[in-house]
Amino acid sequence: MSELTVAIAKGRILDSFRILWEGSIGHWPIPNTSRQLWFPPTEQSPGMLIARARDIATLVALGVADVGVVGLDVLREYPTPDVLEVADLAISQCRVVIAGTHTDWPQGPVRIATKYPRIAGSFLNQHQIAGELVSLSGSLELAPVLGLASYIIDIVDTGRTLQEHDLFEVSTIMASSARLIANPAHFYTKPEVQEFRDRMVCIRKGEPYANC
Amino acid sequence: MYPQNFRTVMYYLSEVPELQQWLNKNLQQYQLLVNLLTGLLDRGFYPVPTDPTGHQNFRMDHTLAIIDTLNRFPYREPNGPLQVFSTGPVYKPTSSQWTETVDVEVLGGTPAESLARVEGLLLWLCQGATRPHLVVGNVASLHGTLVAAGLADLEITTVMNHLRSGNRVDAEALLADRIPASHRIFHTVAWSHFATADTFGLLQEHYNWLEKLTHVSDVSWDLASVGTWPYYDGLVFSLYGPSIGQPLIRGGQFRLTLGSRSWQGIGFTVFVGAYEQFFQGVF
Repeated sequence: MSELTVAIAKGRILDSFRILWEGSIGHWPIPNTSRQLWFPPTEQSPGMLIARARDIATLVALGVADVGVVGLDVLREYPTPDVLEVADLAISQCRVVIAGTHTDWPQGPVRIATKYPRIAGSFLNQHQIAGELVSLSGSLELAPVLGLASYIIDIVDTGRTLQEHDLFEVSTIMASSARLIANPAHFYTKPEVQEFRDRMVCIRKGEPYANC
Repeated sequence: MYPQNFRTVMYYLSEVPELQQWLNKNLQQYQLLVNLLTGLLDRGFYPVPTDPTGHQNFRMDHTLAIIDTLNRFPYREPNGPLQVFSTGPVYKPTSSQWTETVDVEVLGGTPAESLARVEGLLLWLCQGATRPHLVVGNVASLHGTLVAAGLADLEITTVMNHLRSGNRVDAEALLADRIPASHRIFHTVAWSHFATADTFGLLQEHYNWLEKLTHVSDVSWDLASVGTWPYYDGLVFSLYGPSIGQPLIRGGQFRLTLGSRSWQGIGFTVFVGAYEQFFQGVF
């Protein structure tokens, strides 16, 4: 396993992935107060690379990392056909939803703020909604409050942030959780990659690797 | 004037080692490309020029471009397979990148004939600095497995689409309710587990073909390997080099209809950049 490099999306996924890692690999290489982003492979642990979620698939596709951990929402928004999705890690579960100041389905031409223009565009096409997308990179909840857009399409975990801005979920567009992705070339040529996948799947099922 | 300028250039190069290194790398890649093309010409392949921006789209696949060109000629049943190749970059819309490739096609003829031609090419192309790894799948076998499991046409299409985009998770999830131990269907199996052609329901001609390739590469069987393009209908293969994060070669048996004419054959794409890494030290 010391020949392996894992790219992990920073933020929520990194925090929840620690439990899987410690249960299957053991030693977590990141010290509590560290802001370091690159931990080379050692005898005890594979190498670790911490990056922005949307860059994980690129790092894996180019072979900089052998495997990556990233949310399904990001994979669908920035599709990279040169990686394999090899396991659903069932951590960092959330949903991409359409929300608004009321629960009514969008009628007529509406403006929708989102940081997921691809997913949103496909949703609008599928439901034949005449929507104009406003692309924002964050703080989407402000858009209806400021009158910029009547709806938002965003990721929701508990729904608390929506509530705090008096917003209501209209519909769930997709469920998302962290996925393990692999570089196809390394998946086939490095036995450690498939072993890493199997270890992660076993720990997720709560079964020891030897009996899984 | 010219000799003076020439001396200046040579002096400049000797003073800028980074430039010299960069030029040497380009030279090496160019030499490799020339060797590839010369090898194909020596083996009786004909070049077919294709347009990188045909039909107001960037070229993403040579096969369609080659067949589109050949389709413009009157049809006559060929006497044996037609061997052609096309060179130039292909465009990846998801990353907005162009990748230098050489695309080889063996069109028409019997499957045995075309497999034999491609086998000869692969034996030649696998002679790199290290032993490569050949991953093989079979779209027809997978289709048969899914039909036998009782999946409807729409479900089969969905599984195939997931696998083409690299999404094994959702493909496995769709099978989970229908096939006991469905996760095992998509496990990679090393060639050492193939006792006979019957082990995984392989056709004898495919078994013999793969066995010959084990002399120059490690071979694995992976039913989830269905290739990138929807026109593959038989064996699909990818060649990887150790520590090279990109495929060296990708291809497979196909059948596709353009206009009123149907074409079947076997072809593959050599990714020149990755292949050059694999070849380093051989020249």
